[in-house]
Amino acid sequence: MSRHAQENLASVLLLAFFAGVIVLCQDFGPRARMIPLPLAVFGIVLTLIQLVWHNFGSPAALQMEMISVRAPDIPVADAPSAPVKKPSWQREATAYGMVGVLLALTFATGVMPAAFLFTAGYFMLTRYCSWQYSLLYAAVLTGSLYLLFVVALQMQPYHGLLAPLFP
Amino acid sequence: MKNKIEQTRRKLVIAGAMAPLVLSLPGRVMAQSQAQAGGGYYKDKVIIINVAGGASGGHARFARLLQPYLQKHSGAREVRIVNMPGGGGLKAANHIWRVKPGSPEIFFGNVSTLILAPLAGSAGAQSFDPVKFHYLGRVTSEPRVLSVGGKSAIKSIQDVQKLKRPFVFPSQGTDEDFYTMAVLGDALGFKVKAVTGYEGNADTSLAVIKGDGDGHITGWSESLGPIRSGDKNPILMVTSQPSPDYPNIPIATNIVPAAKRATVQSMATILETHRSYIGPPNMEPQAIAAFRAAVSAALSDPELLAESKKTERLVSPMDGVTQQKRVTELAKTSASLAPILIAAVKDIQ
Amino acid sequence: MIEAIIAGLTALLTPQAMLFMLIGVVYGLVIGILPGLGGVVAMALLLPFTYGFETAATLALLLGAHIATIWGDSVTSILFSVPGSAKGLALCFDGYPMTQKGQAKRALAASATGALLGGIIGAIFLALCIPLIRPVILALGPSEYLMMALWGLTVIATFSEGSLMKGLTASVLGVLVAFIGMDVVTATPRFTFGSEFLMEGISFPVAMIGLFAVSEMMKLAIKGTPIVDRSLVKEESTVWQGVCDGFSHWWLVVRSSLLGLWIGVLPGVGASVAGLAAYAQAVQTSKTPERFGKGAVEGVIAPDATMGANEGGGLMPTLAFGIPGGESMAILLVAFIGLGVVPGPDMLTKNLDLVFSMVWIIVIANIAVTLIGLGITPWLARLPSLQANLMVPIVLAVCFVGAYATRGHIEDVVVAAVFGIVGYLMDKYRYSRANFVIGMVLAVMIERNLHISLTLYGKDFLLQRPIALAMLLFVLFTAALPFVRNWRRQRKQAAAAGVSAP
Repeated sequence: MSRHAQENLASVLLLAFFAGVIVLCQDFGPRARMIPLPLAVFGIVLTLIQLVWHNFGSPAALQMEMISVRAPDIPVADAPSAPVKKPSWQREATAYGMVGVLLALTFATGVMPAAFLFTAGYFMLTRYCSWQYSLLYAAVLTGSLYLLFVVALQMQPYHGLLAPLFP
Repeated sequence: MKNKIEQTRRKLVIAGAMAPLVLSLPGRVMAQSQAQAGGGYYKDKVIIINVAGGASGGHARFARLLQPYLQKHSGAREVRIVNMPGGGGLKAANHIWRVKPGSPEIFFGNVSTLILAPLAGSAGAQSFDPVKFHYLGRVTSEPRVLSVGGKSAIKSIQDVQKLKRPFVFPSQGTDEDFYTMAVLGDALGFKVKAVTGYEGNADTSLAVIKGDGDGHITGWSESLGPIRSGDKNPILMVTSQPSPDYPNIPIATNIVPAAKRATVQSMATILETHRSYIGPPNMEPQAIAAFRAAVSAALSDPELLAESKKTERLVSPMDGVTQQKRVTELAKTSASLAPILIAAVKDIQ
Repeated sequence: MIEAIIAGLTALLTPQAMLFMLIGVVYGLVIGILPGLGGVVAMALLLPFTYGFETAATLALLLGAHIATIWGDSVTSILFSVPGSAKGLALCFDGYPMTQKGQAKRALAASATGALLGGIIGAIFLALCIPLIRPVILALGPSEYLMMALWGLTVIATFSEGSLMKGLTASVLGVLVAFIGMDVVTATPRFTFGSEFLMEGISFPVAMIGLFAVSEMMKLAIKGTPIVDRSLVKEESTVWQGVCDGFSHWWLVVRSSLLGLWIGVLPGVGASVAGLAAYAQAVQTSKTPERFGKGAVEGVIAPDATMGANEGGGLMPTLAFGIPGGESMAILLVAFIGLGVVPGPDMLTKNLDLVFSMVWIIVIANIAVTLIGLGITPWLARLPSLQANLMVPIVLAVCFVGAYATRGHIEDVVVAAVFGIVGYLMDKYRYSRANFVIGMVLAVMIERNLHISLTLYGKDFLLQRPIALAMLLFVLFTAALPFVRNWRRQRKQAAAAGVSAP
């Protein structure tokens, strides 16, 4: 999908989101919807303007030469980019997958074991270091996290959905 | 030279490894020094107390006061306090309603919330039945006081009744103070304009001192400082016992018309259930008996009584069995409150 | 008064008090650096261990820990663009670009110096203003807090990168997300879909972990190179440069500190607004605002100075009325009561030496934090050059544990993951994450204070509250300033182009 189409898709999703908010607001009393309702309408107006200008207007018309807080681009723009081995969509999918895997591990095994499995697995898969070192680094990290959060900060660990299998 | 760097590096590594241990030390030391074999059900177990509200709240202050003594008298290996803020205690109540059988978790919070929220039809109180919880003992119940600003033209509850406008009542939201005020307004025949949205008792207190609001309701100890300094003026108490230091403050049940006395009495009794330990519905009978015994023993420990006096966290125990009976009776008698509470909630929406 | 100042200091100069302060400071630094945890957590966890020690030592422990979390928060914002809590957000805007330009040491040192100077100026003004505290607090109310929050909102215009429409949309989204949960004003559950978890609302620190930390790690994993590649960008700055920056921008530091003090005096406004307001103030008063967001050292100094001074200001309502300026101050209040100290008008007359002890604690703890901070800066500055394959799994794992630890709800881990993906997409399509967060921080404050003002004073509340009206005019003026400047610059450029064209 082209960047242009992706931008349009984002706008459409936002429109749907704001419309949903307006529908939900109908159930609230007048005071409870006093701010969210007009705000959602405002959101729709903003998105429509953005959509129209994006497709029919000049791209510069809505640009504000204000302060850009999009820091990551600054040095990267000057530096030669890293050797890219995979197409960008594949790398992006890997990033989403990485977050998904950690989330699934957390739910399955609990917070602390997930930290161990994820870090050890990541080191091994990316061949950052040998499997022995991967396990060692992951164990050290998990141990410190356990001492800090569970022992010192008295966090109650979550044991995960698989916990009943290991009584 | 190289040797020296090596040494420094080694020291740094040791220091780094020790840091988490040092951080955790206070908790360990405290736990070990106070663990005594108390025998019984909880011996060498871990008890988790889910405290309603944040770490700086009133419940947390009392839960922390009891923590070491509860450990001593239950024989538990550790009594762990977990703060569970949200919904004025409803979050923690819902959580404890659902824990699995045999869970070491106990709820510490305000029993009156458990009774009032379902009566008012609160969104967060639809899933539990207050009668089915196991009440394990009250730690304290403070008289609630309605106080007005020190510079306010209102000097007594009669002045409030004579007001030609509604009584402006700053409040956080639909907590017990909000419901109490609704019942008082209904019984004493004055209109209440509740201003909800304040951040807590400290915030409403400031609003009353400044004169933005007419008056607010808090526990007695919370208002004591401003009352002593003259920033606030107490005009009514909701309790069955008059304050020995301030015998002139009228008590709500004594001044309301006869027709409304039962309603206000019912409210006062609900408020007196206050800060207590509450067990889940599926709690084992031995656990209930052991915990109730531990709470009673802790609350009569002379060391605790001395500490409670020194730190102005006064206790007023009620044993779990009596409390359980009270709540069962209240569930039957408090139905008359429901329409007043529901109307008050509707007013702010 | 002089006697009280000296008595306050001597009470602190015991081995126990000094040791406690040092423990507090080291502990606060660690907590501050961990994601999702801030000063409130630090103080709450220390509270049970404070009973039974001398008053000065107890306060040194608690306040020391609290003060240290401020700089601890800034560290991760500057090095990884991962704010430890809401307070650190403003540090990402210029601190992170400085790191990327190879100026991590300078940024960290400037931030520590800013916090130190802010803390000291705040403490001095706290001492000077003691007689004024009560009248000032009594004069301010919900309408004034509302204006303060609106001023925070004007920062949004400053951060609209590229399309202004997208910038505004992002903040609208942030505001709406903040409304998820039980609305305390009307006892209405909003956007909760019957979920008990959503009734409590989206936790702010967890959303921050997702929006910034998780999404930054996703970007790093995609890019595959370290945040700073030392073969391309050398670390050229020194700690000393940063220290000098703090002192050479003395006027900015003074302004920012006074702002912090003012925000601290307003109970309930809080440090997260303080950092943003400080940044806005620095941009709006700068002669070269276009340098901001690209690694201007002023953008690091101003928020830290404000947050440093904010602590002194926050003490005022706590001491004068026993009314805490925020949750961390509420915990301090609990400690006071535990120590048998009753805050209130007496505090400023009978217990004046204790008040000065606290002023001294702020000063000494700030010095300790800065010295430790400057000492460890060279090591910290190396972290961004770690390989992506080492950094990504470690930071992600810490973030997920941190997200869970903030409230102990496993659902919060899902929130962090979802916000991570949302943050990544927002960044990709240039919907400002900073604006989203600003909307989220200020939404509830604006809604509450608007409702209270309307109920108390009616629809024309501004006419009844002259201070609020004056503040509104000031807000409108500062909000218009960047637009006017932008317009002028464009006109100048057009004129210059017109001259050179023929």
